[in-house]
Amino acid sequence: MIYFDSAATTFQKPASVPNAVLRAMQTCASVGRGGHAAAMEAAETVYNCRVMASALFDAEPEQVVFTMNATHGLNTAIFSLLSPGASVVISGFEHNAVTRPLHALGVDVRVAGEKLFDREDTLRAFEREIAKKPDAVVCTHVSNVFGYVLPIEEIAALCKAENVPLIIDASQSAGTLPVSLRQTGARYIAMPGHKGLYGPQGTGILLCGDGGKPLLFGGTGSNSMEQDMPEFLPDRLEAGTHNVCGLAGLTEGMRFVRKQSPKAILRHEQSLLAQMQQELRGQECVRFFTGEAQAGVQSVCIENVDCEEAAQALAQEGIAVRAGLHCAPLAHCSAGTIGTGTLRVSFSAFNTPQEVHRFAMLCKKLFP
Amino acid sequence: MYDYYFTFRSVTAALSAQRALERAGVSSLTVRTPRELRQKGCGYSLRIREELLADARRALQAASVPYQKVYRKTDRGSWQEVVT
Repeated sequence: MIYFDSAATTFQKPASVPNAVLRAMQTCASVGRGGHAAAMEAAETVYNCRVMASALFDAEPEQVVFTMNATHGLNTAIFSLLSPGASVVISGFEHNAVTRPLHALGVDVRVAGEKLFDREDTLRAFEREIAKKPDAVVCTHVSNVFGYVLPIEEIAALCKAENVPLIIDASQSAGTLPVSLRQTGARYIAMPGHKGLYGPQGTGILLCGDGGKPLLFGGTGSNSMEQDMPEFLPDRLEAGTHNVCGLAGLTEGMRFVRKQSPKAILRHEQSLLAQMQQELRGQECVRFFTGEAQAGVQSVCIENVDCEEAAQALAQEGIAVRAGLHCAPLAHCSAGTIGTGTLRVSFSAFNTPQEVHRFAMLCKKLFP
Repeated sequence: MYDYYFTFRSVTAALSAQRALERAGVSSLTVRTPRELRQKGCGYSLRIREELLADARRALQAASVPYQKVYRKTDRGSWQEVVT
């Protein structure tokens, strides 16, 4: 199989990741629930993951909260900062992991920046909206549909200047682009462990510049006599048993990213993107959504071919891509593809030029 | 010879402290906080030998790692809080 669906989840992981998961299953009990060797092994394992994340994302270890995925982290952040009727500014490219909790909460949403790959327009739109002092800004770093890299550092600076809390969705940027809690001053940054960090599914990280309100209430192995959740992080936002095995794997995934360097991984993915565009340049029926500010995600529309049928045809040839709305209808509304959806190709550190070439050849054969 | 116990609010805080002590060359043992010292239920402590107490305090202060309290166990088996 040629796997080009890493924006959903990275399928190929470094060998050290499953090895670490297996070792943890054989040696680790639960964190903060005992003093025996297996409990302390679990505690060390999880703490090592916190330290690794804190170094990669410029935060203190206690500011690293482990979640099930980015959606869990975003819900925690959104429900921590906002109440019904609050005003919030989002970009035109947010995922349902942002728009659905905002909808459930009943906040007043203003969309800033709907022009695909136009960073200047995006920034001007955010500047106008942030000047109105909303209760919060929620912004994706990279669009999961189009790979558009939003000007998050500049948006963060605007938020800082106006003292507006910022939540960053780093689902598609963690592992390839700089993500820093300290530099951005963001209140929260959410990311999955299983995409660009090459960890197992069931892992995620929420970087917390603030304490936050728990979404989940339960045992933390601390302050057990008190019925309120602890005031301090990470315990406040980590009720229940940790996914110790998953976090063991996530540590190795992050170690891989650090060793390869996020910059090098991004360069590799962007080079595959450029190769794909070059090889399919003559295919007039293939419409690329592309721009200068683009990470390793590429959406296309194929004339007279439904994107789901195109994806199915590719799947039958052993190529895994994703089609449809990608859980981000807002992004499609902004780009004008809400009626058709798109076929999305997304790369990882493990994809090769040979795979891109085979994909291009197949596209020419299947979609002449 | 006394053993001293630095108590912490969580296992994360205890491990954070232990790493700071390791960097400073101070050995310690992570243990469950003894029943008599538990303030709000479960907890973790670092057990440190008497001769390392001053170094431990200095290292934790230098690393800005907070702890709750410091106790020592007397010969009679009772606990005394050690106030700085």
